[in-house]
Amino acid sequence: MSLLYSIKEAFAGFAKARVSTAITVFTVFFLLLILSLVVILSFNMNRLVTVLNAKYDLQIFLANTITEVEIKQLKNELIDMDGVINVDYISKEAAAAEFKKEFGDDIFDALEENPLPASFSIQLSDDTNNRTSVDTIAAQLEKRPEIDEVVLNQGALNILVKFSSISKIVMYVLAFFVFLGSFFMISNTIRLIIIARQQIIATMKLVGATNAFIRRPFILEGMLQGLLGGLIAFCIIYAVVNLLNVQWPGLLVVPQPIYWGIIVAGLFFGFVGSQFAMKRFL
Amino acid sequence: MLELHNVKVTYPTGDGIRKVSFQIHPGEKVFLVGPSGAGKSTVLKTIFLEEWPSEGHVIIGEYNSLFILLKQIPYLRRRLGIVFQDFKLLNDRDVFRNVSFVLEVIGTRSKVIKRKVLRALADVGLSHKSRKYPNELSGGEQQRVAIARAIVNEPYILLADEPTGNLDPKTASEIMDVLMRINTRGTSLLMATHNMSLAKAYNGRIVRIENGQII
Repeated sequence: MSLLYSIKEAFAGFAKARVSTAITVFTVFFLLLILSLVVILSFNMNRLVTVLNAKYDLQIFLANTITEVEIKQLKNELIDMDGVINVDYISKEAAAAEFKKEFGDDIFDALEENPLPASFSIQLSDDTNNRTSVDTIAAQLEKRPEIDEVVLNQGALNILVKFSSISKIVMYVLAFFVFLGSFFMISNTIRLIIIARQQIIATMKLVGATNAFIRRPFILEGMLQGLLGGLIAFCIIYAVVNLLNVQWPGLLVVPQPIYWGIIVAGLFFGFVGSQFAMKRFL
Repeated sequence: MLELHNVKVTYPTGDGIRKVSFQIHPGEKVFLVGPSGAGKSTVLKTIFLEEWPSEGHVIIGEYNSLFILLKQIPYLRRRLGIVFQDFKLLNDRDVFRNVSFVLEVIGTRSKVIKRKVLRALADVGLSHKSRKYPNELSGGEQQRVAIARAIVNEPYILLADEPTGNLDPKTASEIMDVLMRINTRGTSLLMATHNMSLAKAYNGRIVRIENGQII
């Protein structure tokens, strides 16, 4: 019964302090929106990294002394290797053409002979496509005398991994500030409401209300503010993600726990903020 | 039922009460009479433990000021009905919810709350104003609401601190009638007043207090 009373009181309090409540709800919404966006971007960054992990490929540069026969033989051996799904041969001439395409200059303008080595580009199957398997294959190949160098193509991946870990740090820092911001906004609003109702609280005490009984509606009020801020953030993010995915299908994947997390975070910030405000008065 | 034994309360200003002792029995009607500043309100505050005796002790039902825990004070206050000179109503809610508040506090079922509140409002003649807010009522009506709130939970004793102090004589007389009617039904009454003739007119035991001491 008294819980029902507390809920009614919390809603009544909500209606009484409309302006400060609206400002708090908006601030919590805004802070949660920023946090959620960072979380979603960070999550999708991880997804992209996972996708790119499947695109490790090996480039095998051949020694200049290698003969045509040896090249054919090596290509057959490579195709037969476990986990290899495709082997492309890039001749010295093809490498020179690629060089010209990339740099705009013909390598023969500066040099008399083509210094670019012939190479094989190897694509690996999904189950082999992890760092450990790739390293093992590379180590095996490097031992062969007709192979000069084995290069793992992962430059873009490294940048992305680095960016992903930066975004994680940004996410944690932001989460901390969002927590602080929501916490102070809610605790301040509740504190102002308590100050405005101090006389009423004193009377409540005189007629036998326990501190817990007086405190409960205020805590609920703070939680309502947080919840409302979270719900608005949830709705906006849900709408934006869906709109973006309609425009660019599969652009963003947002798992359910992230959506629920936004609402739960709002509730939690509201609870902690109002609890803190009450502790100083009751 | 209510006992004060050599109670002493001192304020930093030097005022207060000392060696205050008296008892009130079930159903009794007692007037605590004395001039302003004599210590009447302090005696009442000591009973509901808003002030704590530095010497002596107060016994209210099963509670003793020597042994009561801070967290038990709300439970003690629920056994008392308190009426203040300045009414102390909850201005953010209507008459019904002012009275129902003390029942909400103890978790009474809403059906019972409705029945008890309507009964208490009928006792003070305010059934027709249950949806009014305190600021829409006259002083006398506000005091009636305060009395309804004080009696709705069937207290051991009704403590009234100058309940007619802010009211005109006619309204004061109506409030006194309400209080007497409640007392007649068996609720003890301790009323602080500076008005000796009023105390005498209502035929109760008179306890006189001056300069913080019972005389």
